[in-house]
Amino acid sequence: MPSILNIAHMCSHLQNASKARLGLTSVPSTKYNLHLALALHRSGFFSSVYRSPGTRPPTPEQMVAQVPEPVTSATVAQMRIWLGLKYWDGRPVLSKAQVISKPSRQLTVDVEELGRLTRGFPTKLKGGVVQGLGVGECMFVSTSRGVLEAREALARKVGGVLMCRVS
Amino acid sequence: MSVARPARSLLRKCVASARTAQTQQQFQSQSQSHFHTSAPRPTKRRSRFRNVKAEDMGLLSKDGLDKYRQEKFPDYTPEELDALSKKYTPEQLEALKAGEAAIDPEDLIFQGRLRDDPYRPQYMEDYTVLDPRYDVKPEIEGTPWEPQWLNPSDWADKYGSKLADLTDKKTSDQLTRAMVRALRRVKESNGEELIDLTEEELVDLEKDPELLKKYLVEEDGDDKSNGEAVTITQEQAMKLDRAIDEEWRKELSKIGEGPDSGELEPTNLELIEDGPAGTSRLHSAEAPELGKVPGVEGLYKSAADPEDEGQDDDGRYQEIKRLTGMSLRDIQSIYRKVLVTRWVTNQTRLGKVRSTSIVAIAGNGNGRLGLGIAKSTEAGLAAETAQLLAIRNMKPIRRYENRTIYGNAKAKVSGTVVELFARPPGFGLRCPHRIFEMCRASGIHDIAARMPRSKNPMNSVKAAYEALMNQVDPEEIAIGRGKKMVDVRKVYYGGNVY
Repeated sequence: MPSILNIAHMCSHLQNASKARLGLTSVPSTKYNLHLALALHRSGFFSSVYRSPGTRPPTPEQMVAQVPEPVTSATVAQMRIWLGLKYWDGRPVLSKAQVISKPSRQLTVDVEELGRLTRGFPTKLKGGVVQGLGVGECMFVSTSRGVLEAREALARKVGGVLMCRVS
Repeated sequence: MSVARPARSLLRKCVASARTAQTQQQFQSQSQSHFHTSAPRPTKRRSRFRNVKAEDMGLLSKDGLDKYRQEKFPDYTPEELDALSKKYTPEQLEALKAGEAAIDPEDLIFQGRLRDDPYRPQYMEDYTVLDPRYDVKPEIEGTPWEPQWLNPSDWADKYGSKLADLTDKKTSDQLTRAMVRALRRVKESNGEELIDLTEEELVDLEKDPELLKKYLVEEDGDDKSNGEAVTITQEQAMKLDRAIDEEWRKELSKIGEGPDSGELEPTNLELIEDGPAGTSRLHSAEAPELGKVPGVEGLYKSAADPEDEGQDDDGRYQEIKRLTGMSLRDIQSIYRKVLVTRWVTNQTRLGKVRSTSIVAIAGNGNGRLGLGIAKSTEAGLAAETAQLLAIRNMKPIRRYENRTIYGNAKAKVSGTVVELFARPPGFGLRCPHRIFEMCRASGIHDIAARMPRSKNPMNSVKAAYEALMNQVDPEEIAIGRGKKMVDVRKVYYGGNVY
């Protein structure tokens, strides 16, 4: 089980980056981060997700045209995941990102509880009560089918570890 | 004065009086001591500026004077006279010329002063309008209204005749009313088609017996046509007469024994109506019989707008009408409420200056809400100003299905946090009372609220306003993320929700 701590770092970094109105930011290149970034990208929070060495940020042309270079044991230490942040009407599209589980308290949901959460009801899980989703809020779940948005997970009828809520 | 100075100098003048006049004069001019220690003024004061006389400047010379006079007070040229004669009648022109001749330009030049400073008035004063600031009030033409002091017998006669007239009128009115009542009852019971007055006309008649004359006159005019249209048999007429007679007798007996025989006395109102100014005298301290004072007539305008129908005579709403472009009726229909009153003090070196600070809201009950904050030493003024400000500040508030808010909203002002929650239809306003008022004013019907921290009245109102203004907008979110967002509730009910 990967550490949720990296996700916590990523969430707070994303919040800081959107408050600073950055166009492009990077997080450490780990598989867990990448999967969450891709899930966020699917939900429309990022304009781009690209993996490249952290020495310099990739240009937009590069991100569109070039296939990311493969990670080798020689380059793995320099790799970063570059995330393009979005803004609309003077406001960041992603303004809030909070972790739900933490290393000392993992919260897992089954399908039924996930259904209640996505319908907006606060739900009592094994580790504690989790508030339901509000208008425009997304929750990301780490399942056996990868990192999914709560509604995706519900559609696939899988539960898992609650990672973070983003809005 | 030095004490050490010998008394000789003090007494010198007196001592010197025995000497000759010449020496005395010389003596005085040489050294006359003063009785004070300040430095003596120089013997002759000279102006710092060289005195330039008009004579030296050549202003008083014949040529200079003529030139000045030609420049400032020229005579009329023949063209000007032509133009004047076109505008004025010969008599007026004569008068103008006489007026010109009456004033000597020399006098104006030497005694008057023609202003050429930048502050001279720019307007032409033709003295056609009286200005109460400068002009003497003209004598009022007309005779004052003399009271008539009647001797007791005359007064009694006048009073008696007046009362008799009133009583006559009252009695005839009462009888007419009774007749109409009787007619109506007959009409209701039988012979409906025989009385050609409609029900409404009878009701009107009973209210205002004066109308009877109108109907009588009309009847005379239409007599023939009526006679042709409605033909009554002898029997029917007899029956009708009998019925009316019966009812009429009943009415008369009722009047005779009725308790309202005192109705025949004139009321106060009627007595005043007889006065010179009629009923307007009742409600006004003015004496309309004296008329307007001619000098100031039309100079004082009230701010009242005829569109306001007399609702805003003191002009309190003029400014907000101008700013919002709304009519007075619309402005007054806006729901307003004072939510917070604070008594605040400004400590100055002159003491404490107490004033009242008011937070008021205004809403149209249909999605608009405004917040107004005002402060004044007068509590009433502060409240009114705050309410008008609130009307000016009204802004649209997002409402989901015109009854609740979009999702949950939260705002923080100082230590006060207000959390608002959307609720299902029929939930009601379960929230603190100030937020309740705000929701009511803005037309929100289902909401829950919580104030977990400070409950400061002013900050709670401000925070609630902020929370209501900063609701999430699903459409904006959808555009930002490039995703389609669907209102599930609307889909489920097939669009049958608002």
